[in-house]
Amino acid sequence: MLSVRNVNKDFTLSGGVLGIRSGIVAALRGVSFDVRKGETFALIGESGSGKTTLARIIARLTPPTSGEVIFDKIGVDSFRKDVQIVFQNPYASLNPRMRAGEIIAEPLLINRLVKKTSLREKVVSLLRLVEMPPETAERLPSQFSGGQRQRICIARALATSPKFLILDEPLSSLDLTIQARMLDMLMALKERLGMTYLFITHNLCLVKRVAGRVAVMKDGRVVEQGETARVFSAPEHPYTKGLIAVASGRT
Amino acid sequence: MALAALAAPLLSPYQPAQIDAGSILCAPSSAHFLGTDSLGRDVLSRLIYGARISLSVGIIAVGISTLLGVVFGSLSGFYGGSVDAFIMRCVDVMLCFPAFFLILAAVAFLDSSIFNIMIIIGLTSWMGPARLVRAEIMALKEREFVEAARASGAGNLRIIVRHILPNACGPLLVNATLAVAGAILLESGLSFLGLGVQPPVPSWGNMLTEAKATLGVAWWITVFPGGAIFLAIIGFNFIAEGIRKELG
Repeated sequence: MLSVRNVNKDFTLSGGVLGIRSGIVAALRGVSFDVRKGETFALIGESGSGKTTLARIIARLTPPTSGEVIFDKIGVDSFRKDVQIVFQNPYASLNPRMRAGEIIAEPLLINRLVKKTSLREKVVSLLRLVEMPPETAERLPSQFSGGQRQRICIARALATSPKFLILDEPLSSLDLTIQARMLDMLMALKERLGMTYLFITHNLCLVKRVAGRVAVMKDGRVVEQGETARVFSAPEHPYTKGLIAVASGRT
Repeated sequence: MALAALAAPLLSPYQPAQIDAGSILCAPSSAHFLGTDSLGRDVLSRLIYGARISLSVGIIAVGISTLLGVVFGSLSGFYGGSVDAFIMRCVDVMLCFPAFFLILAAVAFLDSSIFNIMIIIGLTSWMGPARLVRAEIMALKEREFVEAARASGAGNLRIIVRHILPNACGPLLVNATLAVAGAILLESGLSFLGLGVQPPVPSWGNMLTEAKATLGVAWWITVFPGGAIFLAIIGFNFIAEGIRKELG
């Protein structure tokens, strides 16, 4: 469904009085992988390994320096409808001046997916989907907890009935009990709505639970990828081995 | 003060241009609370009508400058690159001219009607709001909710109007309130020099001009308009301070 081919991304550091280029940082170096329709593909790696940059490139929020991101069966016209993203930090991803209902309604209005008269109904059904009571539509983001905010973010992402959902560490800023509940909800939604997930995380237990296949990133490169069971039982790359050893030692 | 200006016809004991030859330069008394000027006009009435002129010049001029500031600041902050560089150099150039002399020069060419003065003050003071808006936008456009809106297909205009400006309006409001005080002072200064609001229409500035000839014998004609300017400016500063505190 998604094919990432040899993607590179450089960031130019400019500084000094005249803004002269003072250096180039390579955030992604030759990243390639494929995501199949209907699966949950996990992307793991430590902070700074380029996972979020890759997510932004796939969501077409920033262009790659070179390489290609190809979506099967998703046209240019419907891209913004079919590919959605949920960000890591639910505190920064909701406009503090908009009510929850307005936030969820916005993608519907932009993409002209519903009539004005049935808007309210659709917003309520999206809230139900993420297990939030309908009256929360009237509240401002500051009146929600972190978990509730993330539910609003998910409802917004689901508003356009996407085929492909990028989840950029959606649970890492939530506490553990909520993490488990949210994960169950996300996986149930995936089955129910027939979506494909790109799940970005640094939590290995989570990967083991939900992902069919996994790619391990380090310093902007994919060092290893394959079936989750294989990668966990017989890691090939030393970095993956270390990562798994640390994780199993901790739990 | 704003209420008094709105209710001017009700509150004023006399017509502002009404000349009473029998009571020239009367000291404050029960008939004329704040006395009369050299043409026998009631100072209180002129002060109240003057408030209309001075406050509306201040508020409308700031409205124009804030609007221009928002437009240029948004373009500059949002698009960055060469658009930003061009607009910011224009701002720098505008800031190089002392605003007061720029306005004096402009007024010398144009009629000094109230309308022109509002526009000229507005056109020469948009740089502050523009810089402010630019800085706010540059900070806000990297935020995740803006990214999320873009991912849902929102266009640039929608992102600026719905997501960025509402979050930038706090500091802008404080700035605008302070700027109203500045504009009132500017108008008073212009009118005092005879280049602002033209007599017989009263404004606080030109009341001062007319009063200075008789300063030695009639203190009240100078002190009350001067005091009104002082109070209005202090008032706007307090309002700005209040908004700032309210926004935390």
